[in-house]
Amino acid sequence: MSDELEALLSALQPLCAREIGPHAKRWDEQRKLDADLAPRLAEWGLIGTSVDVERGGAGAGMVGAAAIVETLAMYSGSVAMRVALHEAAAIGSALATRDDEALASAMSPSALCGWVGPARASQGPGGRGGLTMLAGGDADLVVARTSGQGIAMGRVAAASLSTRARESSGLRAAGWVDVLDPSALDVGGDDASEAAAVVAARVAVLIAATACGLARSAILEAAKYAMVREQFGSPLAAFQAIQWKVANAVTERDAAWALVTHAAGCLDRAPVGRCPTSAGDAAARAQLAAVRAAVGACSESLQIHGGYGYTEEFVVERLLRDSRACSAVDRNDLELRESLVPSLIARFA
Amino acid sequence: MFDVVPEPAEQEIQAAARRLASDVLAPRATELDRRGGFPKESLATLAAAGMLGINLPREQGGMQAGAVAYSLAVSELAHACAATTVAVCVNNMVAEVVNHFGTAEQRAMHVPRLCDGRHVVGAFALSEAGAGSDPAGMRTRARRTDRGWVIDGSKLWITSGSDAGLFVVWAKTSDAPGARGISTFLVPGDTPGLSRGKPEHKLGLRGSTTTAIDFAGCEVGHDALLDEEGRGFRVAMMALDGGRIGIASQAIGVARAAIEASANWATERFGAATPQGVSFVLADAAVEMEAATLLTLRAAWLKREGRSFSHAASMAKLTASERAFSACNRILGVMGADGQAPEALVERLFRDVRVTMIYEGTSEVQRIVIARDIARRFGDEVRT
Repeated sequence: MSDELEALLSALQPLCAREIGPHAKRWDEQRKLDADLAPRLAEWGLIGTSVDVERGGAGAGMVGAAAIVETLAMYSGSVAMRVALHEAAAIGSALATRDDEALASAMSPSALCGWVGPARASQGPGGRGGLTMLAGGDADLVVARTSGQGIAMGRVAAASLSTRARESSGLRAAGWVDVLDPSALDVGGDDASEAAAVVAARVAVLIAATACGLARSAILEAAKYAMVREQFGSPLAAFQAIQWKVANAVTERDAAWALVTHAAGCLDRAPVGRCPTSAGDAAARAQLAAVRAAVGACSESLQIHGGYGYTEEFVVERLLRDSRACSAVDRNDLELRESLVPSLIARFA
Repeated sequence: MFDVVPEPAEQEIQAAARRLASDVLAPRATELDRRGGFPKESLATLAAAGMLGINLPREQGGMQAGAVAYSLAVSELAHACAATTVAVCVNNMVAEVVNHFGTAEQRAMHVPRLCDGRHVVGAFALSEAGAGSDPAGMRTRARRTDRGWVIDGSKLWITSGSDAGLFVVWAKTSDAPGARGISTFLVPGDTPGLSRGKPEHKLGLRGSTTTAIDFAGCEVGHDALLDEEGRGFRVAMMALDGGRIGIASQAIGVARAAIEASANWATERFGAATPQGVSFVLADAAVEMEAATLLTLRAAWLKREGRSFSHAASMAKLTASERAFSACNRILGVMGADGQAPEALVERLFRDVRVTMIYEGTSEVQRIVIARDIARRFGDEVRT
């Protein structure tokens, strides 16, 4: 980790505690983020962390971006996810296609980008048509990567889309909408392009980073609560069953984080605009492991909190909703596993 | 021998519950979850159909159908709406407690009203801010007076606290250490000095009101004492044993709904070519819930036969609640964004079922009960 990144991360926690954490519950209840958040995030140096210093970024690569997203997620999963998608998709697609104009625009956004991933191309239950976009009504740029559905990765103006607000139980402040006319996202091109693969891998890594942050927050909440809550004459932390829950959650979260940083490193080492299979696979493994670890950690933290954890008074309830929704943003567990199969076959055949 | 095939009368009650679930609860469940509140109308309909007194004697207004019928009915109701069903479960538990431990006068006064809905529903007021899994930390006190008892203290997490017409309340009546010195009282909801808190905002079961209940100089007569003074812990534990069969049954119903909803989704999305990544998730969930169902029916059968069922009820609740949550979690994982849509049901089921691992004894408490039983049985074998 570079000195610059370390300095940024050490300043990030107090910044988040001051500027993000106190608003997270309100954003979740309102189902949207504050309109001026994107410029402020850019001002704080949290946009474009994966971009070279010469082009106005922090030069921290995907490893740095993952670390920043992970920290943000400790305070608000929705903010982390929107930053993650902007860094992965808006900036990632501009980098991968060497589009300097798009990169400059993405580095100084008036709003974080919207995102339509491949899993969203299905017809929903009950005959609901259209695609699901994560962004609410505040995005001005939408990046779509709906591979296998005849729609390639593309960047379109949000204003050109017909949308309808959509309810979701997790990552509510990130904003979910249905895109009523998916053909508006059809910008042509090759849906199996290298650029699309780069964006897919970046998205997976930063979703995984978000999940790791949610898990770390849940573990900290559990540990804090277990130290002060007494039952049967002792703090919960004195009971082996509780200690093991926390130990297991930390182990799974740290293992997932190792996969995240490994995958991010693979992407950083890859040539510009290229996504080696090993990097794509590493990213998929990281997302699979991180979301599983996050849901597990949040569920165990809720269990340690008992009835209190089931109420909205305690943050762990939101952490569980947000962690589960990580599978809904881009590829779900099934699609991630499927993506790993070709290289496994090639390796063992 | 434990027979897994319910008797015809039990199957009839299961079928009746299935119809009520389909006709009354299912059409209202999504909206109830969205707006919250208390399902008073639905509960009145269920009361008229006998679902509030499934395991209560006929002469007290119940159906006298036994614990197996109760388990089957609860699963059917929870399949449609877990939030309404938890009020049904707690009411049945309260009615059974009064029927088991009450005097003839207490039974006559309250059990018929709990069965037919005149009490709206009953509530179980045991937990406190500092006494969740461990009732020994209880602070609520009842002081004996010439006219009866005066109760002071606060209870937390009271299901149906907003509307319940009768509360079974546990309070310390002496300074005896630990769980000793706890007594049980029957307190009508309109008793002066009893006040209801605002419903908690929760992850799930949003159509079930969970409130604090405060007692400030709450006066009740001598006839409010249930069972003997100082025997309240025993009353609570026996009530919870039966309650755990209800919660296990609830988890089974919710998981079955999740499996069905996701199977429909898979058919719609993949047609006949559902990938194994999805179909095996459903297969595993079906196997695990089948096992949980058998454990739960076994506990209910032991109860119906008048045999010891405490450890069996704990095994059932532990297995059913944890496997049901796991099933909903894995299903959401493969459904992705489709599962997050309210119309897909599964995200509500995921939120609703999570609490079954907490209330009426957390999973950790169930493990304590099961471990104690193992130690006792192992000790018996060593001695013989």
